[in-house]
Amino acid sequence: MLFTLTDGVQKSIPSDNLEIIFVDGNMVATSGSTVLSLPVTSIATMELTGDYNSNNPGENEGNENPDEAGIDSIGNTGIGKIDVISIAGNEYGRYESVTEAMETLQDGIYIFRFSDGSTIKIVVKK
Amino acid sequence: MKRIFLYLAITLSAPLAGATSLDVKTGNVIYRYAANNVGVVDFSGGESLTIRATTYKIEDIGSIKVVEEDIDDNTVEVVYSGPIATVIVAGNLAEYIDAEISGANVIINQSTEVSDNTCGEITYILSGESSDGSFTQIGSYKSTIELNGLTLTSLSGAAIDIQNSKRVKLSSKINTVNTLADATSGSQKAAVYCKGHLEMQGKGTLNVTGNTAHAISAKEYIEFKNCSVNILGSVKDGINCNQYFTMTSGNLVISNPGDDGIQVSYKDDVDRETEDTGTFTLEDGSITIDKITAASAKGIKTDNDVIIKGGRITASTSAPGSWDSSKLKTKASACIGADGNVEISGGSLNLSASGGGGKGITCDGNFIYDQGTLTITTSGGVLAYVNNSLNQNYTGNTDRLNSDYKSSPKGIKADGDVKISGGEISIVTSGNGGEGIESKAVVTIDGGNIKVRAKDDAINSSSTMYINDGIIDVISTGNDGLDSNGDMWIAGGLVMAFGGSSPECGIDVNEEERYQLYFTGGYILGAGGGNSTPSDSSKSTQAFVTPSVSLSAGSQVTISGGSVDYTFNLPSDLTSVNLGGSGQPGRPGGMGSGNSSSLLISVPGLVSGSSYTVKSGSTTVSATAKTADSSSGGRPGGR
Repeated sequence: MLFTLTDGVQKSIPSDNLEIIFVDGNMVATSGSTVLSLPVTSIATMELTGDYNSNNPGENEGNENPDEAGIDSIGNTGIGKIDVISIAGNEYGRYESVTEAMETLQDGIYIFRFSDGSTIKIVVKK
Repeated sequence: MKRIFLYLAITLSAPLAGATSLDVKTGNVIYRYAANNVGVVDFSGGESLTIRATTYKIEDIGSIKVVEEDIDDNTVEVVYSGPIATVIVAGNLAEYIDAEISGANVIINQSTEVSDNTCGEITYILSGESSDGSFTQIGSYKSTIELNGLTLTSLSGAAIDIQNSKRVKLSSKINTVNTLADATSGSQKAAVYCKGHLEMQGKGTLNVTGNTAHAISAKEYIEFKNCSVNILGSVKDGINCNQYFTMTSGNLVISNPGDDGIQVSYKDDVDRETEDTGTFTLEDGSITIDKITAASAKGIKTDNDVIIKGGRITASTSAPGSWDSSKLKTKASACIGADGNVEISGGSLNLSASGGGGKGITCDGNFIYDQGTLTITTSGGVLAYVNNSLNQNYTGNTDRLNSDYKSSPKGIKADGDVKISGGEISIVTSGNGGEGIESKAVVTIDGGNIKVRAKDDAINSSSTMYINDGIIDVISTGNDGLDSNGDMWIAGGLVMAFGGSSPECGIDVNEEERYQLYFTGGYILGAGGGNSTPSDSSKSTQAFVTPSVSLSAGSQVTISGGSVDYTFNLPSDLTSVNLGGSGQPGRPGGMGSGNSSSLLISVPGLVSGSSYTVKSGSTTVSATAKTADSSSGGRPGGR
């Protein structure tokens, strides 16, 4: 998502899983671990970029191969510690990385909660 | 390790690759734009933003999300979930749809700008469940409402209220069961109400309960196709509509209607549009209407014609008759009641009525029957208002009662003509005063297989009766087999008519008012307490005999001589009253005395003045044919 501000400056944030809310005069956009906050009054336009918008074809914020991108970005996320929770809500522990967690965990379905509060459901099957 | 990442990759990548929409959420309404069709979103001074042609106040926006779900253009989805409902509006409709949601009560205002020149027809897809929800659509352009697994009970008003005077398709989607009920009080006209034309379709199932008035109602016509609809109960009519009701396929079951099963009225009595016919038409499909119990209610009631071209109707009513104190007349229940004609050219009907005066079919116009199978049973007695009291089974003499004060059970009753030219008709009326077929005008039978077993007249006409062809097998146990209060002409077919014991007749013509019986063809056997006989040989050209011979149920009667050799196979269900329980001397065509039935036979080839042998069982007698009987006219007439 590309934001063009009233002063002509452009800001962007990946569109995947993008959620925008408006809080206290600010636009807060969250995509995974990325957060972009702008005063609403400063925004002139916003536009879905890349493959999402046929009117503005061009490079996407994501990688061309989303499958590999998912592996790479999670495996090297650097987004801090990961809390692992069972789908029943039981805490399994805290891990340094997704890789560490998945190598440690037994087969099953888990919720990974990242330090930014975002969560994903993970299937582990070795 | 590779497998670990493979699963992780699938889990993480799905939303990335599948994200296709931008959701703008305001309250419980989501405006969903195709991601590739969002365009540039303009912000305006921090107060609002505009996506395509729709401007949203920032303060109204709960969130904006990129999601993987999508929605077809021109679609509005309404998802009920217990106490709440969520509305998802396709982005291309955002400027045309205003949704108000209170809990699970949804009101959609469809802009008056919706037309073929703008977005075109909108489809509303309803799903989910709520025990306190409703759907109201306000609009002025045709639309489609799809029920995609919806269970909805309203606690205030209709479950579905379509305030749209145009054509509205209500489609139950295939493999879904949808159940709707309105509130138990209120001013709503139905659980499902449409201000315009309602086209019910789809191959799913729709169950409807009308807790306050009708179950389904339309201010204009209803067309029914494919779908399976069960009316589980209603305070008033099961289905109530104006203009017309037409069913071309599907399955409709109406049970426990508080009034009529289906009522079709004129929309406008003064300035009528072409399509405002007040007509019910069944082309194919199946209709079952049962448990009709409201006083004088009808299974199918129309302001005009009932037209049945095919399909199947099964209807039963146990409703009693009633007394209309304002019009001062009795009103009886019927499976089918038309203010116009009833025209049947195919299909299968199985009708039963058990209330006082209850009828299978009644119409103010003509009854016209060409093809199909029609079975009617009535078991109620005479409905009569006597001495300020309504009697459901009056057994006293009704001859002196004003016709408005009495209503007899009948299989078929037409104030106009009865015309039958084919098909199968079987009628049994077992209650007191029950007539088989009655016309207040002319009866014409040109074909068909007609079997009547009646307590009163089997077939009665107030005017002339013509029988030109067909198989007519009629028995009355308490009155006449064939009773014409005008002339009766029999020109063809096979006619076996049995009346009750004297003074009732197998064949009765109102001779005392100088009406006459004419035979010009056909194989005719009349038996009972008496028979009318032809008396004008200039017009009645086929001779007849009146042999003195006993009859028995299920036996054969053969007439032979000259070129004539014909055998009648008598019905097996003749009773003693049909076989001469109390014969009277001097009856026209009669036996003279004793416990023998009067017998009248006429077949082609009989020559007046010639003698023929008549054999009944083991008895053989001789009878002389004649074309006129000067003694005819001795039987009191009556209806």
